[in-house]
Amino acid sequence: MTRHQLPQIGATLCLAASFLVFSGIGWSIEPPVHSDSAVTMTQGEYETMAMDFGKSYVSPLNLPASAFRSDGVNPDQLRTSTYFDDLHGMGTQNAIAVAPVYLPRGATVSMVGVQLYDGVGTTGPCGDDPLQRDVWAQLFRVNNYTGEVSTMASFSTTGSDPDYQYFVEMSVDYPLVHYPDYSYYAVTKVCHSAHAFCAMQIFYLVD
Amino acid sequence: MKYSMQSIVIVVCALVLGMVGFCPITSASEGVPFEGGHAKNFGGSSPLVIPAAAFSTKGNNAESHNFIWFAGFVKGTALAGGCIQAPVYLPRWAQVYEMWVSMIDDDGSYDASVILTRRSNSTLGDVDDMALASTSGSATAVRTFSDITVNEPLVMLPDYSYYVTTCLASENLKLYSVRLYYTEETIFIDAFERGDTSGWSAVSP
Repeated sequence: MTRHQLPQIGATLCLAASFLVFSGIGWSIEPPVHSDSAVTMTQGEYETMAMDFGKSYVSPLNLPASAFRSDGVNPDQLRTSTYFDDLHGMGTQNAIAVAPVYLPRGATVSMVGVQLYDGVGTTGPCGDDPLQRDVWAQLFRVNNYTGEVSTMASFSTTGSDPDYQYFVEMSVDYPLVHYPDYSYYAVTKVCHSAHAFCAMQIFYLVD
Repeated sequence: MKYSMQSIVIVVCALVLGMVGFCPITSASEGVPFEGGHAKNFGGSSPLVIPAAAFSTKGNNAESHNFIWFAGFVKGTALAGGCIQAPVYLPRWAQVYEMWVSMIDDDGSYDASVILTRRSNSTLGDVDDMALASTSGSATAVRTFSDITVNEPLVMLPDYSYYVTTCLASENLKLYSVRLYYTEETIFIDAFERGDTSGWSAVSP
């Protein structure tokens, strides 16, 4: 090694250190955009997944239907079944319900699951738009200083299914829980009595 | 020229590393570092961030507010006059020292006040306002308002229940979140903070 090679080695080590520092703290590097496509899991697959992601003893955060309340529009179009603890509509208008989400600071959301029921086909009540006859649920974050909203996970039924369906999203956008910069909340939409939102489960990891 | 380029690379790298190492990154004016390593610190769970979605009607005018789900805030409606509330889940023995609120107040006629209150679970009428943050002026952007002098800051559970309330008198008043900062001193009772070693064993395990 000559003395002329020393600056080259120094520059290389410096660049490597810069990469390690930035990759370590994740500063200003947003996670990549992933697909929002949901898949339906069997009970066994779900239990296996839940155990894998249950490394923190408080994860998952479970949001039952009773955690949700009307967004203030058409509040009389929402009903909660106390027996099943599910949220359903009344058959005439779309109704939206929201719930606060309290996650630990610094946690990383690794998976989100929802249980939904949709017994409404592609024709019938709840409007002419087929999308209005589906049940959907979403997890959001909002920036407390700018008001910017980001979707973290999104789910929707498609047409009628005789069974309750469990959807999972394993590629959650913006998974790191940033306090105090962001607030977190969940939203669901139902319309018909044959629609049901049952629960959202947010799996996360804490270092 | 070859050595000049190398020197430039080294200087740029040194500047970058220096920025990362010595320049703290802060958010807004609340003085809390913005980075992903919070969970590794001993900072506890503070702040408690209460989303707008946690607020529900107090019942006196149920349609006087709307939560705008795609925008993340709750706002008043033309049916003004209703008020909203949210439960507050603080850890036992925490000391609340600041309340911050994110709101849009774009109303030249009305302001809004957010109040943190505790009520006794055993004595009727024993109610204390702990903190109050009020908006002022008129602007279209999200602004933060605070109260940094908290009354009765010690969280006494199960003696008291805690909640926040506000009234949004028009559609131009929009609430995004309430943030409560607190300390959890009992975590450090083993003398790291207080110097009290009385709880330590005299015998090494």
